[in-house]
Amino acid sequence: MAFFRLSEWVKGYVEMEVRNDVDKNLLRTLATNGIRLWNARHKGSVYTFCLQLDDLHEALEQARTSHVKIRFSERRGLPFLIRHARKRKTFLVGGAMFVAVLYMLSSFVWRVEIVGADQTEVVEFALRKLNIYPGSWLYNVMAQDDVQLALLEALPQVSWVGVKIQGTSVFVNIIPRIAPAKRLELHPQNVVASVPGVVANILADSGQALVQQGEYVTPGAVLISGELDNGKKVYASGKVEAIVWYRTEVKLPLQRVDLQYTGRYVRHDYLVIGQLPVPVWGFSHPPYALSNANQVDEPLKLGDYKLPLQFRVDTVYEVKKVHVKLSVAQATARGMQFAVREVQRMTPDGTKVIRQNILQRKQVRGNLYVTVWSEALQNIGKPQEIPDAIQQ
Amino acid sequence: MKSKVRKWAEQMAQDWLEAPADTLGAKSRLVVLAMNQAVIENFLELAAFSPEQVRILVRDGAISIVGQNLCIRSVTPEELLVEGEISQVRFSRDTESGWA
Repeated sequence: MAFFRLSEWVKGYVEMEVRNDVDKNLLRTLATNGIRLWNARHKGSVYTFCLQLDDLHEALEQARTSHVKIRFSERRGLPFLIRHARKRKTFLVGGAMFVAVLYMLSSFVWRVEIVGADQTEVVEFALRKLNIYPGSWLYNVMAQDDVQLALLEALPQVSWVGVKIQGTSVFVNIIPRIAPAKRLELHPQNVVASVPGVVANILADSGQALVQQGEYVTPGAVLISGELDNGKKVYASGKVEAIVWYRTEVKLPLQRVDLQYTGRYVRHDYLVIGQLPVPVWGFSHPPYALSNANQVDEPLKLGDYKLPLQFRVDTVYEVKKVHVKLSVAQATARGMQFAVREVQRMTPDGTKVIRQNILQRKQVRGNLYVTVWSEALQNIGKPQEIPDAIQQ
Repeated sequence: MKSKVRKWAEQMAQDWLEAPADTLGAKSRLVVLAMNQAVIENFLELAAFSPEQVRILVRDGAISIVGQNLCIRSVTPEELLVEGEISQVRFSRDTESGWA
């Protein structure tokens, strides 16, 4: 029967045991005088009740006048706790020790967290010089902004540093400086032809052009020389475009089987739980001879949280086979397109096919064999180091 | 004299303003809860207390709560809470011990 109220506990209260009071004079007088009391009950010949410490003085006065015997059976509340604690010195010392130890422990750096650094050790070393490391004395540490500036000065490879000292933790945020692109070292070189062709135009950025427009060149011929007239060797570069011929053989079927949608379809909806698809709607399975299924999964989300559920829409389209016949002219045009693509695959980017010719065309067992001759305008320049320069 | 005027005023308030009787003046009120709790508001005096009977004087007389294992859960200047196995509540219009 804990009759507990906070204010009573804070102020403190006692339980009184009263003897030799058959008429309950003490209780009656106190209750009639408007004094707060509670839990009045009988225990054999005696009775007990609880009383606040503030009213104790009056109760004792009354007890003395009515000649009853009083015993305190319980003392509860904060005032008694404090008095109790005062008697125990070790308890107080323990409390003081706790505060002291907590204070002492909170004056060390406990944690250093470095975010964004490529090499954490470098930053750690720089921080160590500024007296920041796990276990360092927090009072030796400079102010946050000063640490930030000092760190930025100590680390040249860093473009920005953010330092936050939060209690016993130090958070360092680092944004590394992105190094500028390295310049290639330029050895003296020539530009030579990679394939045979007729030079269409030549544009030397540096070096001396040795060939002219309309000149036929063989692979390895020097187009732009890195050796100047005055004997100086330079890094020759430029663009040499030439007309180059290619011969491509293409095989094309004249009849082709295509699949075509008939326009009929069925839709099946599923709820995918984990890996298990549970059909929700659409249960018909029409007897399509040929079909093409399209499956779309939509993950279900609850806010930002992805549920382990997916909504799946499975659409089955009916398709039919269609025989497509190509005429020889159509097949040839297609063959020429193939040839262009083939030439572009073999040559550097930017190659243009200027002219095409059919050299040979024959039809064997439903296939058309075409030999295409293509004239391409392409860059034929290829860098080649000047051997003398390396020896020197 | 004063109490007579007050009584008249209370009567008028009750008759003409239809004010509930328990809001007027220091009228005592007894609430019995579930046959094991009784709350008496506006009591004057605790006259007797034993495990079998609690007698409380109020303005118009005395209320006796009879039962077994009765105890007084709390006493404040405004109300008194009795707890126990209540078997009877007796009223007596014994005005000489009350406050008339």
